[in-house]
Amino acid sequence: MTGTTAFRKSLADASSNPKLVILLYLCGLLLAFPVAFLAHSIITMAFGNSMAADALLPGFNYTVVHDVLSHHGEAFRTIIRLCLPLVLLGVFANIFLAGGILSLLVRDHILALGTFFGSCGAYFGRFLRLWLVFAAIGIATFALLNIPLAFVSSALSNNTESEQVIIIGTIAAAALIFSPMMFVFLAADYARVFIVVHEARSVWTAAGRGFSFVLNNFWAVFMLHILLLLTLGLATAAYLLLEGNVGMTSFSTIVAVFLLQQLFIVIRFWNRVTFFAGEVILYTGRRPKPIVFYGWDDSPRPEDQLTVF
Amino acid sequence: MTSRSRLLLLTLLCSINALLLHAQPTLFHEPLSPRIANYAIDVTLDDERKTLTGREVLTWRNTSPNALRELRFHLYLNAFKNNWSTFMREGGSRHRSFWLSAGGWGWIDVTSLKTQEGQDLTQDIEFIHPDDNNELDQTVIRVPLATPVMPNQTISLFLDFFAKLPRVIARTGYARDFLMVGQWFPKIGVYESAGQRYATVGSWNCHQFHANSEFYADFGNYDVNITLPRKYVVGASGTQWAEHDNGNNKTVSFHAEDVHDFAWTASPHFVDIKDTWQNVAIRVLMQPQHVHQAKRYLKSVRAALDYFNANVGPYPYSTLTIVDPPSDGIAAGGMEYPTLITVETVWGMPDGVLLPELVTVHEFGHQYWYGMSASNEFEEAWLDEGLNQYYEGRIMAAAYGEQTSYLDLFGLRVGDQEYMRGAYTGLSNPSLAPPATLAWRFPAGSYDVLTYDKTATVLATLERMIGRPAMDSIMKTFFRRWRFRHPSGKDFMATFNELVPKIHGTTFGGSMDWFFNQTLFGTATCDYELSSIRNVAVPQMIGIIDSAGQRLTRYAKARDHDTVVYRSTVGIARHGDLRLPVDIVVGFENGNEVHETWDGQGSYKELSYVQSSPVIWAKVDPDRKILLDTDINNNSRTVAPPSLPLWKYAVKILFWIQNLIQTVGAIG
Repeated sequence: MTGTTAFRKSLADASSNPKLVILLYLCGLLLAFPVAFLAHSIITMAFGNSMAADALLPGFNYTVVHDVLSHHGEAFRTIIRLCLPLVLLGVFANIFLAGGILSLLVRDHILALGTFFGSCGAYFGRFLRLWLVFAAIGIATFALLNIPLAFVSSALSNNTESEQVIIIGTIAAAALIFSPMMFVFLAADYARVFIVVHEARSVWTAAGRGFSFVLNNFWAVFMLHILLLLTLGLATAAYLLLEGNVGMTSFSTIVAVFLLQQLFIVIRFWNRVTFFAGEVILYTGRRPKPIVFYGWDDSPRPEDQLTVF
Repeated sequence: MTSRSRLLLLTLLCSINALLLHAQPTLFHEPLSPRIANYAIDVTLDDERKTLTGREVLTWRNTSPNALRELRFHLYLNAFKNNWSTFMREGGSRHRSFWLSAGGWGWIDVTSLKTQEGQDLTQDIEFIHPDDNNELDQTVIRVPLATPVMPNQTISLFLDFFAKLPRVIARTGYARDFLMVGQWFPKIGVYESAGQRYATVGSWNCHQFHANSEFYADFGNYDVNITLPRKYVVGASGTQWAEHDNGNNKTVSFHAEDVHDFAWTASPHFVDIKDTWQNVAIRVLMQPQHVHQAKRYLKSVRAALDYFNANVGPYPYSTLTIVDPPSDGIAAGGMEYPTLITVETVWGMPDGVLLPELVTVHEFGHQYWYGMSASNEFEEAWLDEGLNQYYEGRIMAAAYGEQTSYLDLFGLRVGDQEYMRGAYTGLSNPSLAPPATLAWRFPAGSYDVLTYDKTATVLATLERMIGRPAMDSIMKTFFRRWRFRHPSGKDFMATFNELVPKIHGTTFGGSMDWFFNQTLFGTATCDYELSSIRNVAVPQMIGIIDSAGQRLTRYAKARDHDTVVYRSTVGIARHGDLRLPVDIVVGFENGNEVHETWDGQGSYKELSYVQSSPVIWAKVDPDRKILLDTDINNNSRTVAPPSLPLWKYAVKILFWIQNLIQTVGAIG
């Protein structure tokens, strides 16, 4: 199983689960809508019956935005303050939903709400613990990488007149940090796949298996994820091109762009499902042969017996 | 050759050398200015220790009717001597957020001061503190004279000085081997005669160097010979007319006429880019990593030259030097000296961020406001910074677009003038102090916004009230009358008081003092609000009606729309204390519009109409003349709130939040 094969199959797998994609979209909307509604209420209160908001129809108007923020800033700061708990909620929602998604892709293949959310609940504890383990690993990796980079950065700053060196150095440092961090993220993903495929109970074992799978199948994993990211990139570029050409200056164009935006969000959820699907396909296609377990009655088991840990 | 012949030859050679070094060109056949303070300076740079050893010959003329028994000088570099100077006390060890690092102090000592008669006045030099009695501040000295300088007498003084440049701060100093040398020599103050500016008696106007202040000096000629290592590329005020090699060093000679300051810069890394505009030789000294941005500086300075030439007056000098500092010398950026300006940028500055352009336009504009119209920057900083900021906004709008002249990046568009207005109206307390406050008396953190941005917004409001043609005519007149002189704020206002009535009759009253007193000398704020629209349908008349000699009885019927009238009232409130005349437009359902005016007296005005159509919208200041209004969003009202723009942004916010949850949540 190569990365490109897994990519192709993941597109087909995700596309054959439209109900799953819609369900995820609705969950995301459920989280985002209350804050957006609050924002609309605040904007409506701030402008009241003023005609100044008309200046915002053709595009961004600094003076109008500046004055409304100057005089109603506290209300808008409420929205900003809500974003942090909202993001945390989003993280936990992703952890929760991942169990249902993976279970459906590994076993069920047909979405049934009861089974889906049952699986979400069944795996939530393990996935949460796993997330904490990888968060700690990620922070430690980031900190370890930052120590030598800080020395290099300091040496650069003290010995160069040109900020060009510092700017390029900073970008290079970010890339250097990003690469190992991506490795940690990928290992986390495959650890989750491992838990679902093998019904594993130990998050530490799963973490180890995640790292070993990524290391042993690095190029296939890399190719799969690059292709999946490129897909997202293409979708984003297409959205930006279309949105830029439509504008939002009348009722019909506002509705058109709204629909386009929501379609883009749906595509992003579809892309998320392709990530899960691709990982499952790649893992099950390249996983190590299972250890055959003989029961207490010495009767032989089939070769594809699930390995129990 | 005999020893006598050798001595003769040596003397001849030295004389020729001295003659060559001081055989400067003549730039203007007729002086442009009174040329009161003329300097001939020989200075040698020790680039290891960052010190200057200088010899200065000051030729100074007493233009007052008073016999003067003392002279006063600025020693600006002593502001960076220690943390107890007035400059450091007022600003901390930072200026515009640049900290003076330990070991980066600077200072200047006058090691010798003699008259042309050979009288040594060095021991009589005394530090004074005319502004704050800070005994530890050494930025002003007085030199008592045994023989007074009589009215119209010209004296020559010979000063030796030794200076240490600071680590770059307040636009002067060094950063590694980059040098920006400003306010570096002993500089005589300005003696104001009784009646000049605000002086009621003749006195020295020679302030200490404050954290918020800049400078004030008389016009004159400058001849400066700078000796420094050969590796340096040198730029300075005026025209370079000679360069001589002296072994490992070289001496570069500059001459400037009719200026009131002289600054210079040096770096071995400068890339020297030359251009011309009409008869002006433009020289851009670029950092190597910024060379690709030179065209941005050149485009903006050409736009500024064109604009000022057309709308204010001609630029008389034959040179203009633009200095691009390195990133660790950025504290030297954004400053003006006669015919030399410092700008700023960073590597990779996007084209949509117009910082290099607006700094260039702003600093060039100072060639007019301060450079030629040499106002007192200590006492009336608004008169150069505010006027210049106003012109910066105009030039940037003309060259780069009204709404894109500050920022045009990823759909975010901000105009320079609207940014300035926003800086002022966004102050948590816009009433902190009037712009016409002494520079060092502004409350902490308010100097920049009130001097630059509020003044610019005041002038932009004035322009919209009296019209641009009138504004341009008046500003041209003011510049023509006061260039190469020292105008004051009252001279500026007097020009408007004289010319506005000539152009507009009595529309604005007999003078514009009512405007300037509120905006420049007062702290009043402006906020007009369209507070209410009420429509009451007036019922049909029923009962006994006498009409055309007949008595009729009219009974109540179902509403006949042709005869329904509306009694409408529109309320306008003035929340701030600033009283400015304002326009109002009232719109009716049938498409009619009524234009009204209000003089702004009183805090509330009500307009009433009885018409067949109700009022559906109204605007106060519909043409956005009053940029000083701190809230434009309450300047209009409709009976049905506009929902479309609000839905547009609600939809956008929903989309942003969905993306945020997706992107950050993916780490789950």
